Amino acid sequence: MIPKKYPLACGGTLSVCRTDKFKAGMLSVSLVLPIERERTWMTSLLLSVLRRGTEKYPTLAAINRQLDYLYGTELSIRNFYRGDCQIVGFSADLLGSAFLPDGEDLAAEVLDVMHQILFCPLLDANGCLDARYVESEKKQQCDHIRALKNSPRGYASERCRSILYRNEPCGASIYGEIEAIERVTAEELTAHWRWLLSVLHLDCFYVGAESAERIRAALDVTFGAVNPAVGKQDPPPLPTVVRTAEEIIQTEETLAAGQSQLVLALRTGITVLDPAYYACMVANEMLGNSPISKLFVQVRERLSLCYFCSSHYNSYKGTLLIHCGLDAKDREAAEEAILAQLRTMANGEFSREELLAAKQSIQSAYRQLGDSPAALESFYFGRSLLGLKETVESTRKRFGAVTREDVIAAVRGMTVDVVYFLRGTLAQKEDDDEDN
Amino acid sequence: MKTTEYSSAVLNEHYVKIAHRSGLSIYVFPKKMAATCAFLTAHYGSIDNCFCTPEGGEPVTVPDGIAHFLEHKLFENEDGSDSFEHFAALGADANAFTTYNRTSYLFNCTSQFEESLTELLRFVTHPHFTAESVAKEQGIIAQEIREYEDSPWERCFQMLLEALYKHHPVRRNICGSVASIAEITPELLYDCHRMFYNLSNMALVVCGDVTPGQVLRVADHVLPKQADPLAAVRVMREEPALVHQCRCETRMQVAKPLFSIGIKDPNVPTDPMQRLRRDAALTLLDELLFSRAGEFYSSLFEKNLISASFSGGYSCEEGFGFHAISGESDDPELVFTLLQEYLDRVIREGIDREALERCRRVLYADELRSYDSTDEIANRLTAFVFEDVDLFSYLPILQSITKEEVESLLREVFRKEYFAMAVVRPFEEKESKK
Repeated sequence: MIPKKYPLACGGTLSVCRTDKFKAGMLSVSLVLPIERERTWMTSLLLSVLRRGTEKYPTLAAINRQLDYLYGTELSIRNFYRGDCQIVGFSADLLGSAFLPDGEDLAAEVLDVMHQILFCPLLDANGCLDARYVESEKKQQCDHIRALKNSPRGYASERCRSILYRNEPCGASIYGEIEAIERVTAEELTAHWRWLLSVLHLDCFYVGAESAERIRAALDVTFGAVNPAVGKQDPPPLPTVVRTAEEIIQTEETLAAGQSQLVLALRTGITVLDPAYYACMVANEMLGNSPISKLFVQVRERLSLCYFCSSHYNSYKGTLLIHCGLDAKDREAAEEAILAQLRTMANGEFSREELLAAKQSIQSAYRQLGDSPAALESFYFGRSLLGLKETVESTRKRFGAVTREDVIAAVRGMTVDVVYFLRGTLAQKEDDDEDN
Repeated sequence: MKTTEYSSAVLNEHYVKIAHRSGLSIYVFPKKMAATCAFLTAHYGSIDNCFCTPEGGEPVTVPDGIAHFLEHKLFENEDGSDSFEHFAALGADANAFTTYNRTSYLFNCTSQFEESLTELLRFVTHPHFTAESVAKEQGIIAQEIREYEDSPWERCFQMLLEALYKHHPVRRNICGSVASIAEITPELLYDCHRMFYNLSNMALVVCGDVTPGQVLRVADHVLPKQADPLAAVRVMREEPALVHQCRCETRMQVAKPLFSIGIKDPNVPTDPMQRLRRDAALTLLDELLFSRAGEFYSSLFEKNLISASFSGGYSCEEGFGFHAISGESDDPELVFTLLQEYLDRVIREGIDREALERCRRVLYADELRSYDSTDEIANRLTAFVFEDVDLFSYLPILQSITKEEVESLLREVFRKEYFAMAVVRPFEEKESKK
């Protein structure tokens, strides 16, 4: 399934994968913004405020009732990082018209809700965003930041990332800092909204059974009059890449939890734009992305040090995070075991079967991309940000050519940048109590 | 071999059930997707901790968490290999999980389906446990338990079940505790496997671009030629209708208090079709009462009394059922009071027909969407097969539920004595500084 691209009257583009494989399709409308420490968190806040009420649907309940009426369409806010860009917008899962009793044009109606949210938020007499909604969402965003510690695993990953990317755009928190959020006014946020509309360039993506013409017509009717001048926007900035770590940053913090978290952040020097990308994906799969990976088999199964020990490769930034949850007393043993696995791979101590299994696993995952509208969208949208034109199938085939030497070279190029340890103080307290 | 076909014109889907000579029930759901998914499931979960053997005698009680422990250990083979390796060599992705009443082993693949199915049927039916490997697993699962204990939402929900139920084993953590899993031995694991992994107590569900003939070819080759039914009898202590405790609290690393309000359903029908109807009607009712389009959520949210992390819904299985309404609030007691006031008012005034129809649309669409993934189809079909209920019967039931039926349930289920609440509060200032 290869998407076809269509220009939109509003200056943006529509990519369509037409297929009748699914009962529900997916439509996304995205805006790509460079990450800027002063603006990014404000965009996050703005999205939540816009979602609270519009001219036609003045309350959250009214918006949600309309979406429920449209066959429970889930209209999700998109707000995430890809490389050093912030992607914002909406995605909706649309039931195909073949399954609607009256054959309604769901896409047009859902787009109308999106249009309301983006362009017609509830404003006061001065043309300012509704102060109640602004204050309420400021509180929600601050609460969300405070609640990051509720999940020790997520918190540890987030902390390690912020240390790793301290000098890069994506090191800025997507939710910002509490003090700044508390200070922002409805006027400032309204100005930010108006700025956002002035740079609006929509990248739309549809996977489903409706014709491209129908979706394009609905988009043109909805967004037709908006900003054609912004159509010739510069391509989004390519991610900054730090190829090698200069020194290892060791950081330890504490949290009132039973389990401790160890996160190692590595620079691979390889991104999706590099020829070695395929080898790096295979190396990550063998290292810590499957139940037969080195980390799972050695650190979890053989040494019995943790329940999970896995690796995650960020191919936009060329970084690799290794994470495990463990008892504080096992920290050194686990760190040593993790580094030993990297050395093992760098020395080529892996079997032909391990290499083949990793390549097969990745290729199987690529074959399955076509089974999910969201996965297809994520692949093609992500690649388009970097100007890549490869298809799922052509990408999949290239993994087959990865050799043992390619994997060894990829692992040899990896350097440890950050070792982050989140010490769970509750377990320590229990141990102290026992000693007493 | 008896074959039964099921189909749905609305969904444009069909599947077949085959009663295999080995005693295993096999279901094949053809679906043109790249991924084929197979679930082999034992009707055996964490609540099966007390049973009588088929030979009779006194009920046997086994350590909590043993079904989950068995699930972890079954991947190890007698020749020292691990089944994950075999699946990986075939390009398949394998996994397993344990619920209150089921243990499922699954794989999904895009090639070499028959070889992977052979491995699935082989390893689940050939246990191999040693004292050494059991000891090693105790360390791994202890860390898994620790991870759950550090999750405030998991803890809150667990405490709610402990408050709702006095005896029913659903109140125990599926993984057990560090103390209970320390009692597990290879002999106990073999006993439980013999009792519950009898093919007559299991089902195989396959969904993907495969034919029943392909599945049967493997089953005929790997499985025994005849059934050897041997079924343990579950022993359940009688559970009182009322809740065990009204309130349950603890303190953890949280930014603000989390709450789970539970409403126990002591009237879960034993007949599977009646249970499915009650499940559908109460799910519809809870969608109406607690969804984000509803009055309760929006009024509390607009007052900043709750955050966006909010959910409410009903779930039931054979022998237990409850509503759970969970969220974050600076004042959980006030949420509890407002909830009861809201329900009293809805009971007095009745429900809005238009809102009910809107909620029915949402559930109709959710049901349709669930047929877009082979994993999800196989998982849901598995849940239905042990009830011996056709998966496709859910939609007609949902469409036939009347407003009067929902209102009658509304009056029946939300009685004050069925309510309990669990709360996880932040550490007090001096505590968190320790």
